[in-house]
Amino acid sequence: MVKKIILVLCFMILFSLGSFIYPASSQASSVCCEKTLSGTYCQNVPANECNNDYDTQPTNCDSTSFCETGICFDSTEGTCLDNVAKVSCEENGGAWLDEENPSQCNFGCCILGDQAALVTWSRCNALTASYGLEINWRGDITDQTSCIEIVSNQDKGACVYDLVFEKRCTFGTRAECDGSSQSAGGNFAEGDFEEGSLCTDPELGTVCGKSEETTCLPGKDGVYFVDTCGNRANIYDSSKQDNNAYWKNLVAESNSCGFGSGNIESPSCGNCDYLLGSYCRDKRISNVNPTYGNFICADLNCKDTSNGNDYTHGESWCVNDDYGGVYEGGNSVGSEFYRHECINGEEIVEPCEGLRQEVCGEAIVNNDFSSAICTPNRYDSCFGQDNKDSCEDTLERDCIWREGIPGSYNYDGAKQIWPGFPRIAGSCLPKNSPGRRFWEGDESQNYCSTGTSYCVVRFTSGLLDIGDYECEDNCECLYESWYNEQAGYCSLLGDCGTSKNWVGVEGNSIGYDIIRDRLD
Amino acid sequence: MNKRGQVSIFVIVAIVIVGVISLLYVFPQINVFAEEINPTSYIRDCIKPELEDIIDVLSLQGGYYSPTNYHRYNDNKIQYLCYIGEDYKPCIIQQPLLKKKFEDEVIEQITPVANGCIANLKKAYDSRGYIIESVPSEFEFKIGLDGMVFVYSDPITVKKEGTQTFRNIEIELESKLYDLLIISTSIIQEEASVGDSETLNYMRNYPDLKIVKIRREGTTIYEVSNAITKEKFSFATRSAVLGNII
Repeated sequence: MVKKIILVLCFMILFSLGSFIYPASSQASSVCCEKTLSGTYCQNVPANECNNDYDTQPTNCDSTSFCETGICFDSTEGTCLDNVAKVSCEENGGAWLDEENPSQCNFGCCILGDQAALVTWSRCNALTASYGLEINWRGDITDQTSCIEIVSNQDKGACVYDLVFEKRCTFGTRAECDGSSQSAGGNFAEGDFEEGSLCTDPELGTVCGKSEETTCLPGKDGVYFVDTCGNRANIYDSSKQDNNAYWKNLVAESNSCGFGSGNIESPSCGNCDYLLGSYCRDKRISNVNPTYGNFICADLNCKDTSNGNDYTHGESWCVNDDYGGVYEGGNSVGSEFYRHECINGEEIVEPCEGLRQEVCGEAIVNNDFSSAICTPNRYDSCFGQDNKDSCEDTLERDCIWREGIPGSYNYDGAKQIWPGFPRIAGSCLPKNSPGRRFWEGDESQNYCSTGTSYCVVRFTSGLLDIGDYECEDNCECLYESWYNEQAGYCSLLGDCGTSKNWVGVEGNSIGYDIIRDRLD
Repeated sequence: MNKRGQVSIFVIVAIVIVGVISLLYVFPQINVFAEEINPTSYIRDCIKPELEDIIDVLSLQGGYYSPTNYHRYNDNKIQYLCYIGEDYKPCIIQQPLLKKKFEDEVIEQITPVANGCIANLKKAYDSRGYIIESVPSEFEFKIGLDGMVFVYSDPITVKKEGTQTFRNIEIELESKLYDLLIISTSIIQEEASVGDSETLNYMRNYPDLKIVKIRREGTTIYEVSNAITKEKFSFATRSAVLGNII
């Protein structure tokens, strides 16, 4: 008779065996506090955190009347904010409106000289008062495009005041000129609008003349000449500073120097284009001196960024600080994803949620414009998938299928290989392994213990049982290659087992134990 | 130098000294030993640095001088302006009138400082034999489109031989904080509505604007700044947090 001796090799990664299921957090029953002791409004928290001077109900805040949310109206600024609890609105000086569409919050087009904004009437009132203008709010225009069109189609020109001894002039819209007046030396004059003319038009005979000064204008991309009265003139073009014709009539940007090229850091042309990465800025931000004036088309694009590439203004891209670069499932301990963005010539770094709870996704749009976003790392459901198709269903989860990692999940959550059991084809693992707070608490230990592997190796001996054992089943488990394979699997779960950190330093322990035991 | 020369110098010096003493006796209002105090510039110089410090602190802490519900980031306590303790739900707006809150906090913090400055001004005048009158005052602080202004509107009356009254002492600070607060309010609204905010849209519409968004443990920290003036306003939100944040 053949005597069978079974040797059990317990391959223990990191910690003791446990369940993958997160321990249920201990939650005391919560109540709805109108205000908590920390000063927050309408939170579901344990009763002892409630401020007793305010309402409390042993139910969810969604079901209480005192925490019903509505619109908070700020009558000073004219702004309306939705999803505000009555108490927080009124305590802070706002008016709480329990209506679906209160009239105070209806949007319309607010015309502010040659600019416009889609705001409420009261917001428009506040803005026009700040600019010293008369209110011009159009409640019939409720979309941004139409609102902007209104001002861009306004007549612009010189507004001339004939004050006998001198003719003064301001540049603006017809609406700004009509009804406006100026007085000097006992004389009083109403504005006379000259459409399309600049104040420096010799035919108008005003006191305003050409100058070498330039300026940036609100809502405009480019650099503009300024006349001696401080009025805007045409786009800065050094070749035309002394050209009388250029100082006579308004010239459209599309007919001005270098249109469509952005004129980045050009010393001679101020026809900047924000969409092409240039915008009017003080010359001090660059090393370029314009021929005239103190403003240039500044470069908003980013050159030689942290990854060595150039990006245009508004582009965003992903960076991962994994040691040795990103590779699927092999994120190093402490590594994170970052969304980098090029804004105003500056590379802005936005870390995604820590512990790789968020990952960065990047797409190229319109052929060469890079756009990146931090998205949740959907790794939770990886471990429940038993086939490649469901594992790598990118609509549902962020997982990868690894062939050849043997095991099953039917023994206290751990992979195991029993002699004679069928081996599954592979394992479904996080595409980006989540980080763990392995330095605190038991949660990480429990999580990582799911990487524990068991392998039962069966040996047989001869009839005399004189130590002449021969391996019969699962013999690969006896070799270091199997250990390494299991250690790799453990690391793929997250910050478990043996790993390098994000600067390339190995952990200070091997990260797992190998336990051998004999079953008789 | 001969003896006659030395004597001449002594005589000239003596004449100058006698002349100065005579002038001080005839015109005692001439104060050659102490610098004249101008109440307006004294108050301005006393309050302005403190005012700027208070604004800096408030800007880093979401408009709260002593944050109550905050996220600690880079040693700063950043107040949650939109917050929900539960996961998956959009936040509840905690501070719907952000600009007013900022103004109120400045007034609260600067009032003892300003009162101290006025008290010190009185002491300085007393020591010079002046009588100074001022009523316990309220101060104003407003944030506007083009800057901020602190106003001390009650009169300060200085009496000695004549009477001088100083009114409406103003401290103006150039600032684009107004825009930052209004944009921050819009971000808060987005967070409360959809649980997140698309900051690039703001930066496309406002070329001088820079918004940095930092996510940490379910909290989002916003740093809204002006690329030209370098002013920055930071605040925190906790909204639509995923349940598996470890």
